[in-house]
Amino acid sequence: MASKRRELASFEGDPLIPIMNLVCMLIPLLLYGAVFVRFITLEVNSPKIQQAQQPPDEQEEKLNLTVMVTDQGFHFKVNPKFRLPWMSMATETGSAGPDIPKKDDDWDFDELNKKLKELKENHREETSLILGAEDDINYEVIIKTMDYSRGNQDEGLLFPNVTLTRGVV
Amino acid sequence: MSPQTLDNDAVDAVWLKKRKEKKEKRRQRPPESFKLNINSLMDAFTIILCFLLKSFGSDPVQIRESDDLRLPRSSSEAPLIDAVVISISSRSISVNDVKVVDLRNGAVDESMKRDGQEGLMINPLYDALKEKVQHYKMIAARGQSQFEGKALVVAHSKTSYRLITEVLYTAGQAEFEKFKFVAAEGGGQE
Repeated sequence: MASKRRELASFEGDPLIPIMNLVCMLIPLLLYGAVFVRFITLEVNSPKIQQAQQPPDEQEEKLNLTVMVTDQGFHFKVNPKFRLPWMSMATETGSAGPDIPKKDDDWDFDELNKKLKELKENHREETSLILGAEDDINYEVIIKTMDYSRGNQDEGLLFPNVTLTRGVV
Repeated sequence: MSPQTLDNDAVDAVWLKKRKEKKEKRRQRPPESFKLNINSLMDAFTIILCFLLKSFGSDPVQIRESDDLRLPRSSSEAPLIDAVVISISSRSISVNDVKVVDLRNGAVDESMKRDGQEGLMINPLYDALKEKVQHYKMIAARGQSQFEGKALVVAHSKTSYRLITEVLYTAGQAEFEKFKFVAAEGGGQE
């Protein structure tokens, strides 16, 4: 009886060793494949190098919203028919001051969002936006501009369909 | 010396002797073996395993950030898709993790471009992408499907807009039509 008890006592814990080995192998494997930062995507249409001409009737009815990001701020261009009072609408982006100037040495994204909401109010069916920027504008500014132009599900989508254009027009 | 004092000394001597014997016995006893409590260890491992299983990446493409490839943050919710990955780090441009062109001060050398400094077409990138297109078209033909021309653009947050348009233009020339910018979750509109 005593020997049986001793035998059982020595056996204690042994069956867990292969499982422990397996777990020890699994942990580095899972650590390698673990994702601590989730990656997401933003859809863009290819850059417009030469804009295709639309039929004049279609062009007249469309908002044709273009947002340009420059070192000074944001510039807007729309179909002149739908121009709002705060838009400078200069023929050359560089010749006029920005419609939304930089604030504290940074682009005023909140103001951009506000102005786009104002435009969306009058053009509920519009979802397209043409986005251009100066050559030296950083990618993260472009992404942030796209985020603020897209809006969100809670407050309503603004202009999620972004087409990039080459440089500033 | 009184008989009382004598008795006390004898008692002390016996006590000291017994104490010495006890100490000796304790010294001779084999040390207790240290046993690892495997149950608590198993509990800890199970918790770690569950956490790692939960965070195990099941994305169709593997993207790893580094000092040269720090992605911007975005509030978008669209997940990653299976597509050709064009990575633009601060030092090079890669296609599916294969380096195709080096960058100098964040720009492509004019000798690598078809039309010189002002040109948009990056020759080595075009060749690499064209090769991928042919490969995917061949696979699509065998599987009775169509090549969709999708590409993921994974770019360093400080990449210039000029380089982005050059890459998109080149990819467009190589028959890519649908582009998705990749960003890390957690930024954008508050």
